[in-house]
Amino acid sequence: MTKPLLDVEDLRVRFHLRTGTVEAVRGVSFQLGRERLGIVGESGSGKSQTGRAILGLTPPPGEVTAKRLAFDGIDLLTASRRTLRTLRGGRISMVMQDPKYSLNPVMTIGEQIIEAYQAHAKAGRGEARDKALAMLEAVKMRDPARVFSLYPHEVSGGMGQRAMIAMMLVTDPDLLIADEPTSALDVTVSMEVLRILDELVTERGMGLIFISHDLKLVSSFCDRVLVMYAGRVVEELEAKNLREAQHPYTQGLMRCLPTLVDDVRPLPTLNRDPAWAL
Amino acid sequence: MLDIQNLQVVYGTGRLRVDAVKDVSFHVEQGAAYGLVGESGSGKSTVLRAICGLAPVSGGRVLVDGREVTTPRTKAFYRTVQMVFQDPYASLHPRHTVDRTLSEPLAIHGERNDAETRILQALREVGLGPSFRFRYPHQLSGGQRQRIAIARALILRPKVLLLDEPTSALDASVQAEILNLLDDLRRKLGLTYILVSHDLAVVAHLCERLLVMRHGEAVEETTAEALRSGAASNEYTQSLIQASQGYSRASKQPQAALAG
Amino acid sequence: MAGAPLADTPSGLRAWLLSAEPHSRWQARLGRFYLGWRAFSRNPLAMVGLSVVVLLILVAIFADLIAPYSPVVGGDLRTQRLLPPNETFWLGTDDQARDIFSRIIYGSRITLYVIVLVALIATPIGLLVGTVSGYLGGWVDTVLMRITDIFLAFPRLILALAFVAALGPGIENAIIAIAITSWPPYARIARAETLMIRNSDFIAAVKLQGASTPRIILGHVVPLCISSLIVRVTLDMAGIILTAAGLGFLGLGAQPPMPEWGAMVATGRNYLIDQWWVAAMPGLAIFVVSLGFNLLGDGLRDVLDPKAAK
Repeated sequence: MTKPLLDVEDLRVRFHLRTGTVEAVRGVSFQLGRERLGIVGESGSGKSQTGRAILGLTPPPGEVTAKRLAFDGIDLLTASRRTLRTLRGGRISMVMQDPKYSLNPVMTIGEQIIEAYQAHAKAGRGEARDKALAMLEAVKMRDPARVFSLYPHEVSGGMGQRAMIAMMLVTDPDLLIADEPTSALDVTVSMEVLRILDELVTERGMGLIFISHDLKLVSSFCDRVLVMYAGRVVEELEAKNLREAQHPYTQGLMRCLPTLVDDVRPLPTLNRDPAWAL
Repeated sequence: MLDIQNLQVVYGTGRLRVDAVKDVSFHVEQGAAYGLVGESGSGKSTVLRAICGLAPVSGGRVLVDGREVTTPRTKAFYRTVQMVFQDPYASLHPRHTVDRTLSEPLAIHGERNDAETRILQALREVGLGPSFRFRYPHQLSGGQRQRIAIARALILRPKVLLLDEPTSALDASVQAEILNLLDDLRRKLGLTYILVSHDLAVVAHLCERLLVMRHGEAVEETTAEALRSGAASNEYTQSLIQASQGYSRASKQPQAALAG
Repeated sequence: MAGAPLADTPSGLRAWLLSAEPHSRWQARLGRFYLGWRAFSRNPLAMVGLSVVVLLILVAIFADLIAPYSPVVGGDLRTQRLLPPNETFWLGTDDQARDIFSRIIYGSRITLYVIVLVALIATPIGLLVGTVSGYLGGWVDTVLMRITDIFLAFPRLILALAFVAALGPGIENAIIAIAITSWPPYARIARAETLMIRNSDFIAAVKLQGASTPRIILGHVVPLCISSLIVRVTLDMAGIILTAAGLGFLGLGAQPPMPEWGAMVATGRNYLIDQWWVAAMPGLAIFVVSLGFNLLGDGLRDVLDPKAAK
C-alpha cells in the first residue's frame, strides 16, 4: 500500500480560554490518498478546525496535538516553520467560504494569482503572468485578460470563488482543502463552481478534502464521507453507500431534510442522544 | 387576503437606479402559504419588504384584506401583518431580555393588561418553557432565537406572516424543527404565510403555490405538486430543481448560469 | 458544542447570578453585571484605576473626618508659612500658612463636583444629538453635525476660556464652559454607533411593530451606544480635570480661598524653586486622579468593547 497523501491519527484541537478548555476536535483519525474525502458536520462539530489544523492555521489560543499528522511522509507537527510555509500554498492549498473575505480587496485578481505563484516557484513576471492567465482560463472565465485586471469587488460571488480556486491551484498542489467553498454562492452558481473544481481535481490527480454542512452535496461530490459530531467522527463511509449509514446521527441528518421527491410531514427531527458526544 | 398588483420597487435615481422588483403580481388566499423562490438579486426579499413598508412601493399596489396599504403603514396594519427575519443573530436586540422583546409589541399597541399571560403563552406556542423568559439572546442557540423571533411576530395575533428565509442561517436539524413549528402554527392559528427562500425543497414543503423570481421579475408561478411530479416547467425553474438535487457529474451544464 | 464548564462550581449568590435561566429582570441584569465585573476585576491595572476613583470619592465624602486642619483658615502667618512636609503638616504649608494636605483633601470635593457635573451635562447632550442625528439622517443629520463640527473646531481650553471670560470667573461657570466643549466627541461616537445599527434587523423588527421614533431611539439605539460612551467619558475625565485645573491656574475657575487643585498649583508657581511642595503636591494629586481615570477607562473598554479587547 503506497504511502497515503495525508495521514491523521488522533487529532485534537484544544482552545485554552480563561473560562476553561474547549476541545473543538477530539480524536479524529483518517487517511487520504489521491481521492475526495468529504467532512460533514453542523456548526460546532469541529470540521473547519480539522481542516485548519492540517494546514497549521489554528488560531491562538488553540493547541493542536495528534499521534500522527503527516503529509506525504512529512511530519506536520514537528516540521519547521519554513517547511510548513513551503507546503502551504505550494503542495497543500485551501479554498475558503466567502471570496469577499478571502481575496485581498486592494490587489487585482491577476496580481494575487501571480503573487501566489511566485511565492512557490522561481519564475519571472512574464512566466507568472502566463500561468495566471492559463489558470483563469482553466476556471472557465469568459474573458481571462479582462478578469486579470479586475478587483475582487468588481466581480460576482461565483467569479470571485473561481478566482480563488485559480489562485489556490496555480501552484499545482497535491492536496486541496475546500472549506464550505459554495456555501456563500447561489445554488446554480455553486453547481458551476463545483463542476470546475471537479474537472480540475480529476485532471491533476489531486487529493481533496471537502468540508461542508451539506450532506447531500458532499455525498454527491466525494468518494468517501466522514460525519463529525461534537468534535468526533461518528461515521465513515463510501459516498455511494450513504443510504446504508449506521450511526443514528447520520441517519437523522439525512432524514430531516425536506426534499422535492417525497412529502414527509412533519419532518423527522433529530433526537440528540448525549451518548454521541462522548 | 393578500394581493400584489404590478409591484415595482426602484432604489436610487439616474445612474445609480436599481430596479429591484419589476412588475410582480400574485394573490394569496387566507390561510394559504405562498412561496417566493429565487437566487440572490431576484428581488424576492424586496417584495416582502415592500409589503411591510421597509422598502418603497414605486409602482403598483399592495392590498391587504382588500384594502390598499397606506404609507406610512398604520398600527392596524402592523397588527395584521408581521415578519420573521433571516438572521436569528441579528433580529433580536442584544441588550434586551426575551421578556422585553416579547412585551414590547404589546406595550406599543397598548395591550399591557395580561402581558404576562400572553408572553408565557407565546413562549409555549413556539415550544419554549418559561425558563427562557429572562435570558439574553447570547444565551440562546440559533434555533431558540428564531423561535423567539416567531413568538414575537405572533404575539399580536397577526393574520399574515412574512417569512424571509427563516431557516437559511440554521443547521439542517434545527431547520427541520423550525419548519415543523411553522407548519403547525399555520394550521393551528389559521395564518397566511408568504415564505421567501432560495431552497426549493423548503418552499415546496411549506407552501402550496409558489412564484419563481429572477432579476426582479416573475419567471413562473407554479405549485409544489407540479415541482414534485416534475411536470414541464420553465428552463430556469428546471435548473433550480436540478441544482437542488445535489451535484451530478452527468448533468447538463446550465448555459445561463456561466458568467464572466 | 463540546466544552468544559467553568473551573469552579459556583454556589449560593454566585450561582444565582450565573444562572442560565434567570427568573426575573433583575436577576438577568445583575447576572450580566456580575459577569462584566469578573472580567474587569481580572485586570490589575483596571483595579488600580478603580481604587483611585473610589478613594477620591471616599476622601471627598469624609473630608471633614480626614482633614486635620481647616482648608481655608491659615495658621500663624509669622511661623507657619511655607513649611516643608513634617509631622504636624504632612505635606507642608502654603504661603497663607494653610495645611496643604487638608486643602488637597477638600479640593477633592471640588474635583469631584466638576467631573460629575460635566459628565451629567455633556453626556446626555452628546448622546441625544448623536443618536437623533444618526437615526434620522437627512438634513437633521447635516445640521446637527455641522453644529457639532463648529464646537469641535475650537480647542477645549480656548473655548472654555472664552465662555468663562464672557460669563465671569467662578467654578459654576467653569463647569458650564467645560461641559459645552465636551459633548461634541460624544455626539460623534453616538452617531457612529447609531449608523452601524440603524439598518439592523432588530431595528426593522421593532419598526414593524409600529414603534415610534422616540421609542426606538431611547429604547433600542441608546442602550447600544452607552458602552462606548462610558469608556469615552471615563477617559475624558483626566482631560476635564486638567482643563478645570488649567482654568483654576489662570484664575478663571474656582476663586480663592477655594482649595481647587489647579489654583493651588498657580499660587505655588511663585515658590517653585525653594518651596516646591506648594505646587508639587496638588500637581501630584491631579496626576494620580487623572491616571486613575485613564486606567479605569482602559479597563472598562476592555470589558465593554469586545472588539478592542484581546
